[in-house]
Amino acid sequence: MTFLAPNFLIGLTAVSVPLIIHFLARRSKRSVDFSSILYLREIQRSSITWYAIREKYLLYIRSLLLIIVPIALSRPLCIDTNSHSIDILVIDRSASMDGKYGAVWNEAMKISRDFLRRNRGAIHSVWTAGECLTFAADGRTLHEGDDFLTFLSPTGEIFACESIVSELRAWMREIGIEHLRVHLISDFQSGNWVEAGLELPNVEIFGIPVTGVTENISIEGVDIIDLPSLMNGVLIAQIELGNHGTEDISTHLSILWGGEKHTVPVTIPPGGSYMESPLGPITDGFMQGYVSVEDSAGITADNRRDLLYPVPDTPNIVILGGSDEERHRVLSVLVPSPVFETDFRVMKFEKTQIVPSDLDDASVVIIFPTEISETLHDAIIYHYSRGMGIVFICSHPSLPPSWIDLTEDIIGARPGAETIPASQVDEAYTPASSLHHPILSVFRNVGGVTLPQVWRVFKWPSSRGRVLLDLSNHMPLLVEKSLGGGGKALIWMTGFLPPMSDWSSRSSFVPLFRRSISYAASDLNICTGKIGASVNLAVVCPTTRCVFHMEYPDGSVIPVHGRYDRAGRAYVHVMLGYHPGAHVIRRENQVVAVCHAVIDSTERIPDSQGYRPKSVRFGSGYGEHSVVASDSGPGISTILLLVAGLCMLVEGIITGRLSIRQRRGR
Amino acid sequence: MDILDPLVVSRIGNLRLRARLIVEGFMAGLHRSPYHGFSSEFRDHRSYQPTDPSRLVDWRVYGRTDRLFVKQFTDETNVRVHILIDVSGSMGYRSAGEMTKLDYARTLAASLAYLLRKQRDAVGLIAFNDALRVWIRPGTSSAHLDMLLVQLSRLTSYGNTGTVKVFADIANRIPSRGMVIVLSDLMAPTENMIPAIRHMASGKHELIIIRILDDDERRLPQGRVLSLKDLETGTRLTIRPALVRRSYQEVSRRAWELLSDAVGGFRAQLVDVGTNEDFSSVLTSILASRLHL
Repeated sequence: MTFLAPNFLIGLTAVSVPLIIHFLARRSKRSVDFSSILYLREIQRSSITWYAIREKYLLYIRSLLLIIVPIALSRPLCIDTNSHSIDILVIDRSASMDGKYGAVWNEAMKISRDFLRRNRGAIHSVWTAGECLTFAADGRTLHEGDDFLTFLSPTGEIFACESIVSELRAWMREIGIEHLRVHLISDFQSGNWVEAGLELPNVEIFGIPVTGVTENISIEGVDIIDLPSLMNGVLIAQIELGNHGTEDISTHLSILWGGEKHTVPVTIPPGGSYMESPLGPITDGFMQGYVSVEDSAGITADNRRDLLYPVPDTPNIVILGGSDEERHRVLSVLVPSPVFETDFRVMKFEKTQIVPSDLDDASVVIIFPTEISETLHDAIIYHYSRGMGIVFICSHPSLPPSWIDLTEDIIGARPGAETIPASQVDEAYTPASSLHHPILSVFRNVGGVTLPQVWRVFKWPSSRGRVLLDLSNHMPLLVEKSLGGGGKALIWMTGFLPPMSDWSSRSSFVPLFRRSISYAASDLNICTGKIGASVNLAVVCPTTRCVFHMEYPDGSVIPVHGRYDRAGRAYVHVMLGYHPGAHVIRRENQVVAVCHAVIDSTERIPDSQGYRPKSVRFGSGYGEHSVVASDSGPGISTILLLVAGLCMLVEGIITGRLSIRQRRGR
Repeated sequence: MDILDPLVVSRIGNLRLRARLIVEGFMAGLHRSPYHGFSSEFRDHRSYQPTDPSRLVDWRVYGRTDRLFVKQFTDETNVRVHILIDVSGSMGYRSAGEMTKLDYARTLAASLAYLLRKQRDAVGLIAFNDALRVWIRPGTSSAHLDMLLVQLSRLTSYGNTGTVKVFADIANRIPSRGMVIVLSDLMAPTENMIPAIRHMASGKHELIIIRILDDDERRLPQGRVLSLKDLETGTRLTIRPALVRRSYQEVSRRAWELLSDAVGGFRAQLVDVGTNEDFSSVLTSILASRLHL
């Protein structure tokens, strides 16, 4: 028997409480002389004995109660060895087994034949990659070939215990067995078999070690296997090496990134490994190139697949409206250098007609004065509520009504003749003439608009962190409005002074504009990378569907449906930006907390052989959601809790009767 | 302050003085009592005369015949009275503030002896537990009374309560017909007590059995959990009094009823007294028993 939550066993110490009370009660009794206990002896068999027994019963029941409850909560896991059971032989065929014709493999084959000869008739089938033997009860070979395994295992591979766990579980369900004994011939270069045994409650794994040393070290392949992780800023490369014994191997991994080759030393444990994030979190910029590994013999294996996947944390800008000249001027400001050095990723800048789907991946949309269709209007509002930034550019005074409607919906202001109240500007840094500048008459109701905090962000030299309206130098006005939980909206009053044609000539303007775009994209910068991001959970569950309950900081809970893959990992796409309560803490370009996620339940599949949905709770910490818990089987804990309930009932009855009797006796 | 209250009496160290006080106090109140002492024996009835005291009227006869008769007594001299006093270990029990049962029995025995001696009856003393411990033949002299009181004052409680064998032994040693007064807590199995009493009563003795119990013995001591130590056997028993009190009282009552039923068939009388009862009422009860015999 093992326990899935052994921490609860600490509760067993509570058993000492009734014992202490019992002994303290015994110490509290008074010793007195009495003339004769003759009559008491006559009633001893009834009242006194019964009383003593009940005292003991109470002690036993209370102790039992305090023993049962922690054990039940610790989720005991029993293997029923009497249930219908079969034996199979699994031969490890991983790279560390030296390939099909290596010495270790040959040794494994020899051991396998000896084992089968000794246990002929007792072994149901032999599992290994690509081959399978099936025996009848009398030992006759019924089947020999590949298709059996293919039938059982769609993946056709048993390289890692994670996969064989799911294979075995599916197979057990399929053929209707409750208990499986696995005889495993392996070099045990991976310690995960122990975990596999725990994850399969009704499977016993018996190891048959095979040893051998291979002289040749060969790299069998390099692959980038986990794109979602890459999207989260972590590069994961799976490197399969040939068997190199039991020693770690030191080599280096090359990544061509941004036209530059980065070489990082890596230590690969026996049997190959997963290499995670050799360059650390990748947060912005493009990555293009390949990964290569060089072995000790100087043989290089590489993956030549170019990693053209953009890092989504990089703001993705969509330009809406404007003339070709205006758009290119914006581009010249945003993307002044080749693509590898840019800070921004500009999409659709050559499209004159933007459709709503173009905004799906947008971080910021720059909107020139142009007619905006109703559909696009709604799409902008929708994405804005999810965190997309908006920069309105008043490049000319003729503002289309649909553009004005959009600005009103976004920032709650319309063009008008009113001026900004003097109380909302810092006069110490704002020339008095600026307060009466004609540009301020563009909007009315600007009192409801937050003055540009962005200036503080930009650390404008003369602002010293305060709001500044410096129109005397013909600088544009930025008005910022943020909806709760949504993105930021900025308005560049650039249509009059200075003309856009002068932008590039003004040395202070370009960095200001770039920073303003970054600022508008800053919220989305956090959310974009997380919208649709996968939460990887090492959850083992026989079901294939699950419901995650995402708990947001405001206490609301949103169910999100996810799926388990065949390896038992669960994926869920979390749309953080949909929820106003969602927040992300970002520290040094690395997300350290997303939200509190709770896997509240898993859907039960009717043919899941009595496995119950489990409840798993894990804390915050992006990338740390490695919950490992396996099913506790059909109800040992439930039975124990029922017994505990019964104990409580009996305890209540006895205590009640004692109390009534004592009251009568007084 | 009642001079016959056990608490008052227990403060008097001299047993003779105790006995004298009790008897004189008792005698002083006797004019209200219809009893005439141990030696008064009923002789005959005669018709009621107007000058006769009404206390002499036999109301039972009146009930049967509708005619008034008075009882006539003949004083009997030199009745031989044996006072048997139980000195087993259980007689040493007392609850807080009370006399021990032995002390109470000793005082009562002394009072009886004093009273009997005043009536010139011969009084003897037998102390027993599981065997005979003291044997003083009945006598009437003042010196005899002194010796008897001295022996009484020397009695200590120890050992178990004897039953059949001891009572048989005692019955054999009392030669002629007389009166036997037993002062004991009767803390022995009822099935043993009954044949013992039968044996004693078979000698044509007038038998008065006075059971002396402490109040705690009737309703168990107070306390949540008690570890009781038997004064006779030394064995211990842990009880929760509140739980067993009713059963204990029931068993005790049943034993007393069994004993009463059994004794009813003999020439014997049972008197139940407590160590907190004053001696006057006890002496009255004993005299009432005497009349019923």
